[in-house]
Amino acid sequence: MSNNISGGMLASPLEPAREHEQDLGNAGASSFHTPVFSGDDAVTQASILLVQAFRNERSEARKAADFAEQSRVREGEARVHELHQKADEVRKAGLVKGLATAVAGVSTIAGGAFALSKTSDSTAQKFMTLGSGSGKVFEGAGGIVGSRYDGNATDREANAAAHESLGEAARAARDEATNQANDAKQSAEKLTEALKEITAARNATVQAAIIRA
Amino acid sequence: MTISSGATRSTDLVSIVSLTSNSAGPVSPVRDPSLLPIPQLAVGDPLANLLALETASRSIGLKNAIKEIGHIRTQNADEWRKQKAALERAMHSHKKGGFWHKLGKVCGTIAKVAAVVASIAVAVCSGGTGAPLVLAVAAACLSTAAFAQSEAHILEKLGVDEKVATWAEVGMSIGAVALTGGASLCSSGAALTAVEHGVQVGGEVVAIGGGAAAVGQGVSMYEAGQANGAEADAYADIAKSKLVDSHLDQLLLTILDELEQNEKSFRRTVSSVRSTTDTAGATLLLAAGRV
Repeated sequence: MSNNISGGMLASPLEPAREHEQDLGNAGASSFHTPVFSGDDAVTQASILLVQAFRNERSEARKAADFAEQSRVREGEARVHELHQKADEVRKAGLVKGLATAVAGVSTIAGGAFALSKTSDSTAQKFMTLGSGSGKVFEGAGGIVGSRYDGNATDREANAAAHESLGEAARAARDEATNQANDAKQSAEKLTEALKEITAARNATVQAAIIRA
Repeated sequence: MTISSGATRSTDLVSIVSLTSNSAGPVSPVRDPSLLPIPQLAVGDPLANLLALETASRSIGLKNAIKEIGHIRTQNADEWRKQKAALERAMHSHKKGGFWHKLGKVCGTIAKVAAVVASIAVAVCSGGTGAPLVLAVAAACLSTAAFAQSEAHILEKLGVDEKVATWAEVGMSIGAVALTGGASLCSSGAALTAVEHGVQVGGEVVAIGGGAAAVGQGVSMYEAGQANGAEADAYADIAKSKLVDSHLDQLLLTILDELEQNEKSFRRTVSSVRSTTDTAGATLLLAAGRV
């Protein structure tokens, strides 16, 4: 046991002190200057390595979390862009369909007005049919073109939903990385606490040994 | 060798190095060859200075964190205001769109009824017998069917796809017009009776009214489209604001996490310094006992 303790006392930070003591010729009093736990024993080195490993792990996990957060923000921005595009498509669809329907109405009005102005019943009937017929054609054409814009709006919405899903995946990845970083932090803290307890126990042992000496 | 609380970290590091190198330890052979301990931590004691540095660092970190948190809270409040404004815009657009949608529906119903009436009028005035009558009646039937489909959505209820049903409705409307045109072209051109003439004029007037209703429907469709687009834009703005909000929350969590870590680190340092001081004191007591 004595050897173990003395092994812990031969810490490099304390070497200059020992030299001074030797200069003074007080070699027997050297035990008083080594109560602090040194960094050269295997337990400490292993602990330091483990803490460093945990810190590295935490650092990497934090980087991964940051990257995932950036991805989430990018996906969110893309989703917002798609939603604005969808709004534009909805507006275009309304414009085209409304314009076509209004033109159809004007055409029907024109046909009816011409029919009323004609004295011949047959001609009047033809004008009325022409007006309403061309109106239906306009309305149908407007419906076809407007449907394309509606389809585009639906596509944009689907794209927005896809970006939302990717954003959720990035959020999950971020949370997972954050949990990993927290786990690494807790492990490092526990290890630090354990090392502290070991140090305290060893110091107490050293002091006990000094008392017995 | 006092350390001001406002010192920067780099200055503090320099100070502690100089303090460590200049301070004479309890075992210094030159100044104090005795093994008796210094009874308490002096101003120049490295541990005390380390503690002072840690306290200063903690204070600076805390101030920065509070400043950043305040900034984030301000931004959060801005985002909340933006969300509220966007939500109000969305509600306003929704109401506006609903109004124009209802108006368009009423106008559309009027236009379709007018088309059916005009089609029936054409059938009545088609010349009486033969192909024109058949075509005119068929046109009236198709026009009525298109109207019934648009109002009651019969085909959808029978299991037909919505798109197919829409195209069928358009087809029936155009077919009705084509058949009406065919009836007009096939008509003999014979003079109509006074009643038939009156029906035809009535049909023409109704058709004009239907056209006006269609114009109203077109305007309503345009306005409803604009309102729906504005509503979609408002929801997109809300989504953007929520995104910024959630990002700010994440930043806040990160700052709080760092703050917690710094606080724990400070407490560990204080605990370590206390432990070291206790150990040093106990050891020095032992040394005194031996002397």
